[in-house]
Amino acid sequence: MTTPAAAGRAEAIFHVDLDKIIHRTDRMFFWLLIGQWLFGIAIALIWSPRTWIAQYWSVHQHVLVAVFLGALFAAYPLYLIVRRPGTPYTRHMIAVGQMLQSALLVHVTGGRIETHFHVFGSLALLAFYRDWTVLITGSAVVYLDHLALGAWFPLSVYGVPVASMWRSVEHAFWVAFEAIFLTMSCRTGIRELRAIAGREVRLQDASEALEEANRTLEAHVDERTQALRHAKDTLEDKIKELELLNSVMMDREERIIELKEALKVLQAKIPNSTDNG
Amino acid sequence: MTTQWLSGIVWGATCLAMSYVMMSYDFKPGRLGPRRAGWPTETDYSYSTALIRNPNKPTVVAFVHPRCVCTRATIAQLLRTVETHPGAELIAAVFVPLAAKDRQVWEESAYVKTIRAAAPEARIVFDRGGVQAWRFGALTSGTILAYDAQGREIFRGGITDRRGGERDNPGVQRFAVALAGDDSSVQADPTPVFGCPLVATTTEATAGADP
Repeated sequence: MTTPAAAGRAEAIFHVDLDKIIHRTDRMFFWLLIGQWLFGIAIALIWSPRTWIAQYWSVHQHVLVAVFLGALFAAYPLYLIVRRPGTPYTRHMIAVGQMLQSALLVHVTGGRIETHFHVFGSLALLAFYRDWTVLITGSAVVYLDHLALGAWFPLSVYGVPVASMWRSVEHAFWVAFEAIFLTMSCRTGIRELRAIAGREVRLQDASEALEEANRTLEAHVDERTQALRHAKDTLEDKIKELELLNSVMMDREERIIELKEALKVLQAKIPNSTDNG
Repeated sequence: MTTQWLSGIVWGATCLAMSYVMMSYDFKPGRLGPRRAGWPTETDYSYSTALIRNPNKPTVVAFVHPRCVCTRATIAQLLRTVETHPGAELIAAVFVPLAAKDRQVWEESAYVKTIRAAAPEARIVFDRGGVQAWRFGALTSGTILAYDAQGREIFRGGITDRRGGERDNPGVQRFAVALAGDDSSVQADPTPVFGCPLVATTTEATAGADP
């Protein structure tokens, strides 16, 4: 039986725990966004450091893109993590920045299919927030990215010069496929977090009841100890009194003996009164 | 709250605009000479390179820049396609500067070694100063030209989907069709080529750094 007060306390504990998870995930994305930016630069430097015009070279645009566009994608979410950590707006912008970084990595690796796994990995990382709406934002960015690229550069996304919109829908289906299961996982995570908070409240209540019983028991014990101590003191006083009485009695007994001895001595010295009479 | 959303929208719009610029570079095709009827008939003024067609079988000429990163994808697509159509003779026309101080770096690049290892029967021709590239109208690295045994041009264009892209694309599909002897692609427009220019314009040469 849960009282309204206990339910309120459970809700408060749930929010504190969820807040801790959100802040921890914010911090994780802070380092991840920086790490991905540096990783993108490293990939660009290794994969395509220079571009050539006959015998003349210049820095490849992928390197510039990885440095400046990568910084732009990461900068706003990083600013929000520092200035407004834990807010829904911050995590939605993190989702946007993270998915844009996925697109950037796909681009600097020449559209490699393998790099597309970063998109699915990113969605899984966003699920750490246990907020399914963040997954919607992330998936929407992927879909819009596909739509925009499909419209501007169909070869980049679909591998054909003219692509139907249904190709976007097909790609979005696989993103949605993952997002649906991650959403289920988020909702389960929230339910579990609430259940844990409820259990914590029940444990707190049980612990408090136990402490109260303990306190009552200790009070009883103290009371009995006091009574025993009092009885002991009274007994000791009685014993002392009796010992004193005993000592007085012994003194009197000795005196009586002495008087009896003295009487005997006197009787012995006094001649028989009947003989003299 | 309004300021917050406004800053988010500004950030998103900037990202979108910058992304467009970024993508434009990779998907901007290079210069390519117009479709020709056949193997060039004009006099070959190249004093260093002999590009000779095999009159007995189809010939594929791949113009590549040995230090352009986009060449990796072109070679991968080229070798994959040629492997499935072994009847054609492969010539790799590798650009080298006229007066390269470190000629070995150009002539023994990783891409040249890849071609030698994967297709030992291929002929590698070093196109000094891009003279042959001019002659064949192949102004961009990654340009593939295919000729049938009679010297008729049956394919002209690129076989990658972007700069450095290795995915399946219409260029490589049409190239495979041409090698298979299907005449339907002969009159088709050249496919876009994505790669580094093999011939510098005056402006580009002024802006570029020396090797």
